[in-house]
Amino acid sequence: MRRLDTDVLVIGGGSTGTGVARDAAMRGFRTVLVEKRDLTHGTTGRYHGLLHSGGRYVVKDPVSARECIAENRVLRRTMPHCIEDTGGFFVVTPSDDPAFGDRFKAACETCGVPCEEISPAEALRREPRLNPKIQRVFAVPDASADSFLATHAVAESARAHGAQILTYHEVRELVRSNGVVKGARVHDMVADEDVDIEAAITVNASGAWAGRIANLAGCRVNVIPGKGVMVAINHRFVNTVVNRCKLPSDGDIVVPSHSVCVIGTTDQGVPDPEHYGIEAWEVRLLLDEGEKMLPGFSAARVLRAWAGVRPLYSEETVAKTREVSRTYTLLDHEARDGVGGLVTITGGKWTTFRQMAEVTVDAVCRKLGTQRPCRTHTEPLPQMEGGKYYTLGEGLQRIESAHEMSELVCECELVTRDRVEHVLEAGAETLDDVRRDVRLGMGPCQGGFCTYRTVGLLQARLGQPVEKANLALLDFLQERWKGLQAILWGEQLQQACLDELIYLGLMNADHLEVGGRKSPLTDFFYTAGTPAPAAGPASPGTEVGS
Amino acid sequence: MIYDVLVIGAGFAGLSAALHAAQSGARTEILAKGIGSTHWAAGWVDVLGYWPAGSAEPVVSPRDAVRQLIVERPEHPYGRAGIEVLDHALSAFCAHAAAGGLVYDGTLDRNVLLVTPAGVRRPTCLVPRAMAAAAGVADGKTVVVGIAGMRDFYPEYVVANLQAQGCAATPVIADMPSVRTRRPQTTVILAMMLEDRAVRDELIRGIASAARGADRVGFPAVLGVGRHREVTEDLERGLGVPVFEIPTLPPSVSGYRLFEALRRRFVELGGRITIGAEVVTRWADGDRLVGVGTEAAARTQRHSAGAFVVATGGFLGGGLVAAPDGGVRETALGLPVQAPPDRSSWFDPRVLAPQGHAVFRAGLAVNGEMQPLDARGAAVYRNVWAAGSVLAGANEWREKSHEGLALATGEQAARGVLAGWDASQRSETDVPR
Repeated sequence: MRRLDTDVLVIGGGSTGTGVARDAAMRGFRTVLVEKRDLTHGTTGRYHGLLHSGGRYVVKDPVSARECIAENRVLRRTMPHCIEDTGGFFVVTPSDDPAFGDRFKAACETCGVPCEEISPAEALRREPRLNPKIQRVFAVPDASADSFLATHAVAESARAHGAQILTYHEVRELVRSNGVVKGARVHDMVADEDVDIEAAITVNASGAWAGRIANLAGCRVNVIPGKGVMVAINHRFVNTVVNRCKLPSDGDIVVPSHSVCVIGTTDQGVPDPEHYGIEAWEVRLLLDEGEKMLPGFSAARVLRAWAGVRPLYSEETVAKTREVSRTYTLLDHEARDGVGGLVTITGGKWTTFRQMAEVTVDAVCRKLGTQRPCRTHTEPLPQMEGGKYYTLGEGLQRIESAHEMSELVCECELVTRDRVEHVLEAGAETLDDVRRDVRLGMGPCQGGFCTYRTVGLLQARLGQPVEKANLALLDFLQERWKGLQAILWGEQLQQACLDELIYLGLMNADHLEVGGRKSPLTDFFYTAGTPAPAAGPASPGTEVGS
Repeated sequence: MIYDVLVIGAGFAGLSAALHAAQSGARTEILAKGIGSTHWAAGWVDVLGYWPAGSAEPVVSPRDAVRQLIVERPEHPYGRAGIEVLDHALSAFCAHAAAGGLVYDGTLDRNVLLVTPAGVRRPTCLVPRAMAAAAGVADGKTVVVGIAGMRDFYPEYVVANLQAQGCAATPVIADMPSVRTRRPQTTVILAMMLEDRAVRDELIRGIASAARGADRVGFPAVLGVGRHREVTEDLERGLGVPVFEIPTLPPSVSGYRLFEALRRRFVELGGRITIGAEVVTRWADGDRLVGVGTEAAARTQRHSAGAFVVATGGFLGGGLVAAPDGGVRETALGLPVQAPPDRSSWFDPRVLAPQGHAVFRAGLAVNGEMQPLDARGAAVYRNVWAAGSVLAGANEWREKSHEGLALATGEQAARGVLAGWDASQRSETDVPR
């Protein structure tokens, strides 16, 4: 058994956990982060990619709104390469209450969220696909963010400051002595061995899983996994974030992201953050709502549906997850439960991850009896590739000027062979890890062509037992399939047929030799989601039991 | 002019029906929205590779397995076409392909195992001469060639899987200066480049030492398009061993060649083929279809015929379209479709589930003459027949039955047409518009 000794152990490799690891490492603490899958595997990698201006929360949740606008400004400074400054609109459609616009504008002022009312004609000039019947439009500093890239950049910086980032390390138990958490026993899922990590303080940053981790120390933390379904369509229907100007509800945000557009979300309490289904009616609901802001939206080609689970924290039992504040909570279990050595940071949003990390590491400093100032709000992240990674044209121009069209492994997302090989050699465990790193398989063909090519490269470069490559191929087809079933009709069903032709007809992939192997890293691709309660579109908010 | 037979669709099924009709003397036209499924096809001709679909072991004798299938699943398209028609359709296919310049071998009595681009040995029935040597990979030494800079074929992966199946194989990568300079983006461009002797010589030089002592050398299927035979013979001469092709990701050069061979043959037989003509409307007179309309530059163009064959393909070919609410529509003539009643039963949660996804078995229900039926089981039109993937009931990519089904049902549809047709029905006059 391996042993590690550290000052700070961070549990969770999402935006918050990596943020905590970077902040702690920058303040000179020896830091280890454990994540049971790959970085961003949880909610961070499953959200719509909105950098909030705060506008969404000004009326109902002003604390959260203030946090959002403050961090919006910080992140634009410290990680500009992960953010596309699209700007955002709040639009009053004919289905909305026009008077809400005044409340919205006043609340923006109160919360300090810059908000400028522009004429519908001006808005239509900027975004011609907006509903021409919109009555009022407010421009706010929303933006589109790449949470995969950002998390990797944060992790890279954490490593540069000496932190160890251990992916595929699952926490099995929190080690306690005299009522104090002294670290954790974790399982290395790749090497299939346990690792004991002794830590002066343990930070539970496991998002929707925070209740489960706290429970290992005997603490009760009521985290309600709030499922949000999102749908991506195959092109940038708009170049600006478009929100409905009303109280937050289902299907009221459209975010342009790289080559696609994402509409979100629904909000439904689910019992289990690991297993949940995506229903056809949820997809339908989102598309129908999108249609109200953007006529023609529901007829666009839908690429995929997925869901993330928000880590909503509430001290009490709640009836509707929509009602839970989006602000974050830091719990010191020593003060709260008499369990030393453990803090939990939960709730919050991607936009506020840095601030969450800051207050968490402030608490760590206090508990360790030291004062070390935070620098993450001023020190920029290392630029991963230089330049504005986010603009679509830039990637294309790079490929065209280098005559690299024949080098594209994934044409949909312009991923070149070099980039795939780099990620493979850096130790990606599954093709899904490659996807999160370079957007492989996230375009219209959903892995139809790049799955085979990437497995071919994997075998050529790494020369592992072929069963492993075969399993990687089958796993990735299955992983993509999970997000397709709810949206297969029209052209995307046709695309799925082409995948059948390629993988079953041409490759005979249903007779690939995997030597009876099943990977513990990917077994969850094969577990069917629990169907959502038969609520139906009429009552999208469901009861959550105690 | 009025054609005797108008075939909608230019894939395997449409070509099979059209070739049979044209050869029998009927004036035949093919109208197709685009190139058919041939350009996605591997180039081999499957009849039945696994039965029941998803079985671990391949079918040894397609004839026996299809007989068994017909007993167990009479509603399967093979049940409609019957084994005699299948047998005849395969012979007819071989004759047509040979006349178009491509030699196929094989019989309904025995499947042959070829090599896929994943390196899995895979059963098929008729084998293009260019793939024949792949059948021998279990014996002796095989070298699999890749071309540096080609993204659609990975010899290391093919070889690793061949080795896992007990075959002695080694990979070699040919680093060709002309490929490095010209950076072909598709297999078709690479295949055209190899029609140039100088490029071929680069390839031979690049792999000659690796191929020494091998019993056969496998290449991605890029060995020429029109001059395929010359390219292949040259490589065999230069390397001194038999060579074979392994199909690649689409677009498929081996499928492209096959389409060209069959198209040439059809035109030789007096047929007319128009690609880029999507059928968008129809005219009927009671239970008789009198014409179909295609979208042309400024107006809808009307095409009249005595008989019509719908061979527009399934969801992949565009013959069927599914709506978000779960409805499935036949696109050319608006024929009634047999489909699972609602979306919730369309898919299995496992992508490679052996029994397949129910929605992919949707399609037209037909009688034994291949006439599309309505809900009461009566023929919708007395002069319309259907063939290929637009038919309901098959699980073609798991059964590995795509081409055989298309050829058999295509011929059966043409037979249905011809049974009601005699030369006296020909009309020499143009249709009044």
